[in-house]
Amino acid sequence: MPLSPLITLSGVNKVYPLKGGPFYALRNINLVIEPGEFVSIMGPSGSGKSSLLHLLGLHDSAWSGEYTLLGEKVHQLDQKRRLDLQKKHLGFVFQSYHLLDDLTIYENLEVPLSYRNVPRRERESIVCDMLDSFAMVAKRDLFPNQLSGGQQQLVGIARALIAKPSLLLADEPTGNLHSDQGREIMRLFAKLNRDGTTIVQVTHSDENASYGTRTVRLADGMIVG
Amino acid sequence: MWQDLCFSFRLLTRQPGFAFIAILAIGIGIGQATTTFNSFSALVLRPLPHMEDEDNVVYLEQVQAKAPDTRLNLSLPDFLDVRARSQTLDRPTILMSRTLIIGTGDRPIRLYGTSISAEGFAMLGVKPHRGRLFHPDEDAPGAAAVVLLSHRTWRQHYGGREDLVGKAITINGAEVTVVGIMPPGFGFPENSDAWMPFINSEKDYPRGNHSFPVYARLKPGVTLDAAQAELQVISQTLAQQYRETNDGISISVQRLRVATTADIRLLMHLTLGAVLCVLLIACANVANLLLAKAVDRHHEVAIRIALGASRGRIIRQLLTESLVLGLLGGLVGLVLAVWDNALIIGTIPVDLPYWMNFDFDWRVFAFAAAAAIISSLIFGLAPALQITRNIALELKEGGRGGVGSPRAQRLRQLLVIGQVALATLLLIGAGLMVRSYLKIQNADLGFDPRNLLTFRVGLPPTQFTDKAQVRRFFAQLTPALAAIPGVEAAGAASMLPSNGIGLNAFSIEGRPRPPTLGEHPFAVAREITPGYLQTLRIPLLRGRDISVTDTIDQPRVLLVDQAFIDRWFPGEEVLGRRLNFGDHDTPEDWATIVGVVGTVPQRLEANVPGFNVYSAVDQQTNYFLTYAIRVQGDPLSYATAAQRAVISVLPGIPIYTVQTMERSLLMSYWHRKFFGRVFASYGLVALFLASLGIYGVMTYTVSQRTQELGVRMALGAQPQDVLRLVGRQGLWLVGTGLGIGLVAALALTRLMSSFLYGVSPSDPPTYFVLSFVLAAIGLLACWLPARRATRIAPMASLRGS
Repeated sequence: MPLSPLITLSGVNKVYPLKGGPFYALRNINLVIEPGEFVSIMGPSGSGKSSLLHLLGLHDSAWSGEYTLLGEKVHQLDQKRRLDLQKKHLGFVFQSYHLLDDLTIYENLEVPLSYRNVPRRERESIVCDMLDSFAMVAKRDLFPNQLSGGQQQLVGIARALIAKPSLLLADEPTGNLHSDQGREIMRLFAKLNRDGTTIVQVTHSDENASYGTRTVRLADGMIVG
Repeated sequence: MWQDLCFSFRLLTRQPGFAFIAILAIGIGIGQATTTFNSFSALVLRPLPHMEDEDNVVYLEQVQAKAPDTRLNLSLPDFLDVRARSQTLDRPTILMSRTLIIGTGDRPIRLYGTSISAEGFAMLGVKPHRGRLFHPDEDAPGAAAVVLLSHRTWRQHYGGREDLVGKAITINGAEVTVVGIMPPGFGFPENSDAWMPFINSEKDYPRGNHSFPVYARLKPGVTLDAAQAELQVISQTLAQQYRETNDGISISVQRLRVATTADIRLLMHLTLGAVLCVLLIACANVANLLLAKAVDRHHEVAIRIALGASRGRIIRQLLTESLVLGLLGGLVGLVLAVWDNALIIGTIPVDLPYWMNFDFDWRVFAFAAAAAIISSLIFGLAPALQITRNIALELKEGGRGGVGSPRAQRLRQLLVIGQVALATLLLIGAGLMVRSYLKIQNADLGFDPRNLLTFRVGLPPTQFTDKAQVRRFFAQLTPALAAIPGVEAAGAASMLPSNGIGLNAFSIEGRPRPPTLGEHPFAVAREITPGYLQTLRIPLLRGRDISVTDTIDQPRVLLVDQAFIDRWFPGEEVLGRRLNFGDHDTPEDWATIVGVVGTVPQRLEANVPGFNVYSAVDQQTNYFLTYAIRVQGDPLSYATAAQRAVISVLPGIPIYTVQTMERSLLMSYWHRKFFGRVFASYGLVALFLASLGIYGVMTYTVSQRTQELGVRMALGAQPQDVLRLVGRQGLWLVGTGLGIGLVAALALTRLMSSFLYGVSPSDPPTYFVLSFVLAAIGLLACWLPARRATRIAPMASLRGS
């Protein structure tokens, strides 16, 4: 029996009403992503890559069209249900890492679990496992500004994965890293994908895209390839 | 929650400057609020010590239909009638102040005594510390003399002797048995040292003499309204039976607590309102700081939301941080309040009643905690809501969004306008109080209060039954005091100016005698010795002064003041006219006006004019007089010599209430000085906090506009152009806040009108001067950041952006 798609976008538009007329950040997006895919979204600046990613990540609710995530019709859900869906199924990796500067590495990893009401003891165990698997046990009590960029992005990925999401969304995850660190991160993504995590990344880099299984190209808010 | 708390503390330690200012602002606000609440609690909330079920203890007063604001005590005959007829009141109790003298010879000691109905203490529910209370029959005429001593008197004057109960001591020259010692700290009704049974004697106290405080307990199941209804019926019956004295007079009943705090309750509520304004200003200040900090927090909050936090969860975290700030502010506030409380109590110049306890108790701590929590919500909620508005896309766009938005900016401006408005209101209130105090301090008293020593002295009527001896005592004492080296003049009166008034009804010869007491003309009548006018330097305008020849066997004479003439004899010659202050129409009740003296206003604090009438002590019988002696140098240094002079005339007689006239005056209006100070301190703190708020917002505005200002300067704008640009915004904030504050002040300061002396609630100089001061300080707070803006190096700001 074939698996149902993880994501289905149908006729999705995102419009900014401007004085000179409406500006389409995304126009008539139709996209299907199957479980286990590693999709790279590419395109020039301003083409709508990040808008699409944040839409997929349920960070944005100001759009029209139909979005189905794991069988749930997102476009019919209220804000609270969307948040529940986001917490349950999505992990997000940012270009600028976006770690919380005032929290230690351990605490940064713990934050998503606390928002999911995971009991304290269980949180400890999950965070310790994650630190172990990312080889960061020694750094657990350091603050983000005490780590290199690559290490910070590793923490960012670990944090995105800690709640065991069905889909990992990454917004230019290597954009702030030098090439060696970038390759290391992409190798990690490829491994995660091999292990079963569905990944959607936004990237400018053809090399990074080559780690994926499919590339979606955007221009002027439309899918062009 | 624990995580949020830990994170909050960590954040504060990482921003010590912000934490210091926010905690201090909240601390000052909560500190002042806590001190004021403590006073409110001491007056209104705390149970009266040693009293059982105080809610059912009531206080009775008489009210004239023609002057409902003037409250009178009961007359003894009316009390006896109420006691006999009331079915709703349990053990009505009458009180009278007494001077009790213990000690003899050259070491007499005066105790502040109270006569009280024998069942009075049982009615109040007080238990003795030692011995027993009075037996019900111990206030009957002819009963053996007994006394209850206060714990303080027992310790201070009798060394706390265990065997004193049951023993006889000498009071007012007679043997009196000590039957009990009252509990520590008890001094009902205010600060009594000893209590003796009130021996009823209707003959000495006619129905028109309203001198007696009356208390009672509501019988079980009886409501205050039911008691009032019954007293109304009794009043009407008395008015029919005794039309001349009781027509138009009714008896009102209030709960004891309400009656004892009636004078100060409104002022206390005004003070509470004022201090809550200070707290609100502090909250607005911290809210503004938090909004400014929100620029930094916005990014972090966006991450948290991207990681799965709901808006409610983020608001909870932000409010937890506010709560930590608020609780730390509350702790600082408590420390400030302890210090402030001691300072305030130290400035009260009068002896506080025994029941007024200003020590902090659980209520005060609960209030401080509640104030901290509520303040946290007030200053934390708006920034929390603002920070979490439309935040979802902030990470993508990398912008500042909500907190730097026009909406957030408007919120900050509104907070500053609110602060300025509240500060204006408080400053105007404080200004009116201070001006009122200054006016009263510089008021024309009608006499010269400097270099005067005053004290009270007298012969207890129970000990000195021979009235001639009493008159002889005072006749000899006045010259003895005047003979003390350094004393320029000495004289006495039954009551000094500003020590309260006693209104006396009189009739005028040649005019019909009004049928009822309420329709009689009234004047403040006092008896004086020869030399009183010279001692106080009250000018004699016409006629003659009271002299040593005005004795009991001579025709009665009177002096009146100009205000009296203006009121009762406008345009008429008064010398030679006759007045009758007595109850009857016998020849000896009529007295002739022989002199006119300068007006001495009565009760300065209430702005009551004179209507004074002076008669000769030697033609009446006054058992107690207040002496004034005019001296060279420090008046208090003459106290010992004055006591010696009294003893030289009659051994065993103490002087008491020894103080300078200036202090005596201050006692009559100390509360103006006190509340003037309190309001002034609120006003200054409010002004400081509001200035800080303006400064903070303007600094933030300038920092937000650094790039724009840099561009403008690069395009040729001069410093004064930038100053004008930035200053205009500040001017708008200050002007709007000031305008709202002035309108609010015009509306709300009317509540203070009964506490003002010589100043109207809309006093133009107060409004004008304080508006100017506030505007000047507000503009200074704008000018500093604006001036900094003029020093922006265009290239640096552009590069920075």
